[in-house]
Order: sequence, then structure tokens, then C-alpha cells
Amino acid sequence: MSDNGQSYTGAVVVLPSFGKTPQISLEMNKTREAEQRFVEAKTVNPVTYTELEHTFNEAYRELKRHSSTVGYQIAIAEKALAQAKANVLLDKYPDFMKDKPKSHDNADLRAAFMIRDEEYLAALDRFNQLKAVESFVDGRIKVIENVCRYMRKEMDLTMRSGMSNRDLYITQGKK
Amino acid sequence: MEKLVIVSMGELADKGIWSMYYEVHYGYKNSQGQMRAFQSPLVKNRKTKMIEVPDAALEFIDNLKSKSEAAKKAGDTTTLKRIEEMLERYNLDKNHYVNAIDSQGNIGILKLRHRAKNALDATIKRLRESGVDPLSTDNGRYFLFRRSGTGLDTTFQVEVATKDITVEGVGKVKQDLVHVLTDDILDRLGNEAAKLETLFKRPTSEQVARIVKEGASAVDEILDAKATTTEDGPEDDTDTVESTQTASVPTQTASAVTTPVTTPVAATPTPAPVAATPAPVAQTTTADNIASQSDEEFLKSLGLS
Repeated sequence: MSDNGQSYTGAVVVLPSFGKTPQISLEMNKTREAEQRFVEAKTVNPVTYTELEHTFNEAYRELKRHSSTVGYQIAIAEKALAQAKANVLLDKYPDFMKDKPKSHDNADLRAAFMIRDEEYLAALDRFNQLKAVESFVDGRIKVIENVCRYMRKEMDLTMRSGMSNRDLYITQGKK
Repeated sequence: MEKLVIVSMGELADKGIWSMYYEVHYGYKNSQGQMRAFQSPLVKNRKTKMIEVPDAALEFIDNLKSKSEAAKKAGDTTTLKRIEEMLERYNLDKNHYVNAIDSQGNIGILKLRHRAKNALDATIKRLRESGVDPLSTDNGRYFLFRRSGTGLDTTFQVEVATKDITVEGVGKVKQDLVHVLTDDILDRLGNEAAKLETLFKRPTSEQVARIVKEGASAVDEILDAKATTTEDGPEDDTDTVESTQTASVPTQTASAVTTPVTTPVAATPTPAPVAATPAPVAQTTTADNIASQSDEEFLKSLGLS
């Protein structure tokens, strides 16, 4: 539960199982909370800065953890893809070429042959899926970094502005 | 103005390292009321400035500052005063630590602010370019530190200490004061100089979160338990450095160099920053009951528990 009373539980990105890797759930609760509160960055002031920065940094760390997990899964998927490719080229493709002249063998044919192989296709799908998740996570990390950078700049300007504390809070109005 | 010789020793000297940078938290006490300083576990991405490993103690200080801003806004002077008292107790001290010898021969740890260290680096670089290694054992130099300005405008000047000599036919000239590390001093350094790499304990981020939340009991368990198993007891050094913490300019007075002898900090036992047991939260606080609240109750009333 966040400070503003909203609950962000249940936000999850699920990576389905693949090969020996079980299903992986990436919790996104802190990220969701941060995204809901992005708008507050617009009116950041010395009172709200600490709490907002904490919230965004928590989301950043959550996403960074997920980025590592996805990165590792990508490495596994790349390996599975290479293995599937090797299986096709070493075991199935020679059988396919057995009755054909050697001039038929070219890169396009090999690519076409491979893409019809189910094991290779599954590994490729997994790889592409993970790349999409990686992009999803990295994009959010970038957004959070930018929001935090914006808040830091705002606070820096506020601190150097020489304005009195009373003037900083627009909701209070001038007395 | 105190003249100081900077010395490097041990494994760090082999690597050409003569200073260590620490960000140290002060304000946390064990159940006997003794101050226990520890390193901040904070890890920040240098490029993006995002916090990769959080520091609960730093967040606690930042939260207090934020509450102090809120109190300023509301014109609540009693709460503000109370928060300012707490901010005096809990602070993060960022310094470079070096082993130094003063002109009386005292060996101790010297704390340098970053700007002072920059000025010292520049002076050392200049000397090395002219063929003098001011940190060498047989041709060392005394440094004089000068501070000017205050706050963000503070600047430091570091010069090599000189003496006036009269040269026939030339007149008065300045000659660098040379310091030689004799066998006697080297022996003393072995016993009296601090191991810079082990000055302060570095609890993990989770341990710091416990220290902030649980107070003295966690300090006992995390910081004091290790001290009994550590052979060289960096705890002593911690206390020593803490005892000089109030010296705002550690580089200008003889007291800046402290002999690393255990000097228990005279501290009155104060309660843990946050009580584990729930206390009634004072929603509507008056000046009187804020003043009479314990630290735990006050922090709870601010929502910092």
C-alpha cells in the first residue's frame, strides 16, 4: 500500500516456461506505483522530493532486478537458438540435401529450412519474446531515470533560487 | 597553524594509495550508550545518479529534512527545533582519511574535506612534477592547510611548509622543511597509525535498515558483535575519529591529528531512534507535548517509524 492509500499489488509480467526454465513472474508493483505518481514530479518541492525520489528509486531497483533476470534468460534463449540451429544444420539439413545437387545449397535455402523446424522456431520465439520484455523494462528504467533527473534539476533550481520557503509552496499562496 | 606530514603505509602504500574516502553515519548508539559509526552502504550509479543499493540511514536523514521543510512551511517552531536537534545527532560525514604526523611527532588520522583533498592533490602533483616526492620516507614535506570562506564558498589552500635561510650573496630565501621517516618513527607507525582500509565497518543495506528501525539492539547485534570477532578492533579507531568529529576544520589545528588510542566517547545513554514497541501517535501536538515526547514518540508522530 502506498502513502496515498492506493494498492498496487498484482501487477506482474509473466515469462512462460521454456525448456528447463520454469515460469518466471516479474512483479511490477513498485513500478506501477511509481508510474501512477509520475505526475507528482511536476510539482516537486523540498517537502515531497525525498518521498518521491524514494518511490522512484524503489521502482528503478525493481526494474533493474528484472533487467538482470531477463538478460540472463536472453543468454539462455540465445544458447537454445544456437543449439536448435546446430541440430538442424548438422542432423536434418544433410538428409534434406542428400538427393539434391550441391548447387541448391545456399543461405536462403538453409534459412527457409530452419524456419520450418519447430525446435528452432520455438527458440526464436522465446528469444524475440524476451527481447520485447527487455525493451519494455529498459524503457521504463529510462523513464524513471529521466523523471529523477528532472526532479533533481528542479530541486537544484529551487535551492539556488534564493526564494524563501514560504514562496516555494504554491498551494499556500502569498501572505 | 599546524604543519603535517602525510604518510602512506602497509598494503595501501604498495598500491600508491595514501588516503581513503568514507561516507560515515554518526548518531547511532549501542545499548551502553556508546556511539557506533558505520559506513554508508549507498551505491549510486555515477552516470544516472540512480540509487542501486539504498541506505536507510540516509533516507532517514532525508526524511527528517523533508519534515523540517514541512514544519518550516507550517511555522511549527517546536517541531522544527526538535527535528533540528535530531539532525545534529544523525549525520552523514563525508571525508578523506589519511595517516598524518604533526610537527610534535604525534601520529594520527587526519580527516580532509573533499576540497581540501583536491588542494592537497594539486600540491603533491606540483611537487612530483618538480622531482620531489612529498610522501617519500627520506624526502617528505610538511603541508600547511589554510581555509577561507564558509559554507559552499569554502576554499582550501595547501602549501609546503618552509623556513627562511640566509644565503651569502643572495639574502633570505625559503627552503622546504624536509621530514625523514626514521626507523624510530617507522616502528611507531606500525603501532600507532591506522589501517585506513578498515577504519569503519560496512554493514549491508538490510543491516542498516535494521539499525535505523530497531535502534540500539540492532547496533549491538550488527556492529558490536563483529567487534568481538575482529582481531584488530577497528571499533577503537571509530571512536577516535568520532571524538574529533566536532572539529569542523580538522586540518588546521593540532587536535586534528588524533592518536589512535581508544578514547570512549562520553555519551549519555539515549533511547533508540525508533522504538520496536508501538507507542500512541500524537496526532494533534502542542509545543509542550512535543517537547516532552521521547525520540521514538516524536518520530512516530512524524510518521518516520
